Amino acid sequence: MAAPATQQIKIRCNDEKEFTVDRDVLERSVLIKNMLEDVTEQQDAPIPLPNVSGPVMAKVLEYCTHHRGEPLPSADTEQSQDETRKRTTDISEWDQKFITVDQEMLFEIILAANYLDIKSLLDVGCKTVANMIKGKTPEEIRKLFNIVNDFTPEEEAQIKKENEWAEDR
Amino acid sequence: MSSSAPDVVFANHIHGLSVEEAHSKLAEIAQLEARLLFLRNLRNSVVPITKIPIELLSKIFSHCSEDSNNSSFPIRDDLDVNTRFSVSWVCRHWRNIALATSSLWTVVSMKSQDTPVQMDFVREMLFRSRGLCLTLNLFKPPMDVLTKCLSEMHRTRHLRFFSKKSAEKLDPFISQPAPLLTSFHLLEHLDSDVSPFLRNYTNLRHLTISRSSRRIWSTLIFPTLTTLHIIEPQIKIWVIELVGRLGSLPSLAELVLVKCFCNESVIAPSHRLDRPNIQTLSITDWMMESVFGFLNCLDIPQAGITIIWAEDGDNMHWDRMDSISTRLEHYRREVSFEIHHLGILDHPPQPPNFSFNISSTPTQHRLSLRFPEGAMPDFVHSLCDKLSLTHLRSLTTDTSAFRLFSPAETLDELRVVEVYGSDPLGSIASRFCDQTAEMVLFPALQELKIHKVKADVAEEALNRLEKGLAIRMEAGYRLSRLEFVASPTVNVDRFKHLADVLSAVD
Repeated sequence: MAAPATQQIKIRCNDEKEFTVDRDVLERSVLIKNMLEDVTEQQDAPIPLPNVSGPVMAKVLEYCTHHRGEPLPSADTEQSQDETRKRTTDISEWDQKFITVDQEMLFEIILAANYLDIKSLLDVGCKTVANMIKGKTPEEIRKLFNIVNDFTPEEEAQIKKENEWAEDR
Repeated sequence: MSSSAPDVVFANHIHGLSVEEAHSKLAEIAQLEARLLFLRNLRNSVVPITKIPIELLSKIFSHCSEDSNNSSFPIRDDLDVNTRFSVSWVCRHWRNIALATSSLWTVVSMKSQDTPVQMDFVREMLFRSRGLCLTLNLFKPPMDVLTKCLSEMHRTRHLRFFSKKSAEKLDPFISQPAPLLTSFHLLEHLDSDVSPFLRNYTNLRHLTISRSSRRIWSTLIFPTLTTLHIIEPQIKIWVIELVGRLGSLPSLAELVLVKCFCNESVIAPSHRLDRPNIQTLSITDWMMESVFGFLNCLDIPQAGITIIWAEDGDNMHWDRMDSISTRLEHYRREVSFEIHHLGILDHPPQPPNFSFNISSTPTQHRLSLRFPEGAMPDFVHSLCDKLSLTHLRSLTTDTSAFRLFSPAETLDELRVVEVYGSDPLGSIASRFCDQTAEMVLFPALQELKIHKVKADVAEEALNRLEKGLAIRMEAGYRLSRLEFVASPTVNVDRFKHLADVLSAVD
């Protein structure tokens, strides 16, 4: 039987931080939705989320609250997106503002969205990182993410060869 | 380059070594280098982005190359396909992921004539893309590259093909079955009729034929085709012929015709071809009699129609403009009308020398007029002289034309772009509000947007604009929105001061 829309659910993060949230907000997460459907009786004990910290969960809940009520992506829509893929810049204004955070938080949000199975949030996170990368040289990307060149001389030689291909495109 | 002190000491040390000792030192250096690589690798494994698991990094890389699959005609000259190389050259971890992400390598786009480089590239892309659908952009490909690519037609989704090779050489390749092909752009194929081959493309949705033989499109029968662009066919098309061809394209939603029509006097047909599916119709031509004849043959009530009158400026017939505008009014729907000048179709659009839009919808009178800096003053003057701004609601223009306009009493939005010249802002100020406020050219103006103000003209000009605006506001002519998009070198405080003046008056 479908639960009333106003049902409140408690969750507990890995830093013991707890949130009490409307069920329909939490059900943006397919992981939690499945958990709730598996539970037949109402339980007072909070749902443990061992892979998400309180500050990150707060951001995720901000996203879920804003998008509550929107249809969840189905397998069909995923397939049609594969056929005619959307531009990486296609991030709504609200989402862009929401995801304007430091790199650490951005990656944590991506990991949380992946763990909680919130596809739309995962897309926003991945597209944001993709947009940060697009149009940059390898050196600029290294600088952006604090990565160093760790190629062997053989790999460097192959990359030099590939450089000719890129120049011709 | 000078050596540092430790390097010199090391070099002196090396010189004094025996062969065995030198070998031993080289081995030591190799070990240190390996150790350094290991440490760099280790360092990369602890940076924050490494938290992202491989499958998500792969997804991110795929997003980096997605524009290629976005539009109906995804293969463009300016396609950015190099980000995929960039991500594969960052570090070992990223390279391994990039090479394993097949979707990154599905675009095979080439411009070079260098055969060995091309062959290596094509082989590698076809290998890396594994079995995924391909986007091929073949610009004058060498024969071996062509052979290699077109043997992959069975998994090609988008094909752009430009080659001046003879039909004898090309046709065997184009005739390959391509059941997954959804968009095909053929450029300058003159020799043969490829339409029988196109029937092999059973899933084709988007077709562009540029500067090619008329025979290519003359026998098209595509129940699935939704987009058709015919660009400057080698032999021009009769209106009745094109209307007849549309009958065999029942799913067509977008039709773009560029310099297609013959010069003919078209008699209105007894009945119009009903094509409710067509959402977009864009015609660029200078044979306006044929264009209107074609429009009269069609009933496409939902379409957004754009008619672009492409004619050399030197031969512009001003008297025809009134007649065309009047005839557009008869359509009583959203028809935008543009004039482009001086063969821009050969070099679009960097930017067009000018364009001029009039919407025929009575409530949405908009005009957009752009000229290159300092060009064609007589031409600009003659055009502005012909324009009536009565009923105009929105005007976008640059300063070269701005000073030539007559009063427009209904104008509520003015966008002035590319501000250049000795005193352009002063000119703007005096044009929409003269110094005594006795004559206001644009009394209904609510929004003034000024873009690209250059620093060298800003100082004195802003003084005048402040004065002009203050007079305007005192005279009771209000602006609700004033927007500047300035050069980064312009002192922002000057604009703040301008805002203070406005708020003080208000």
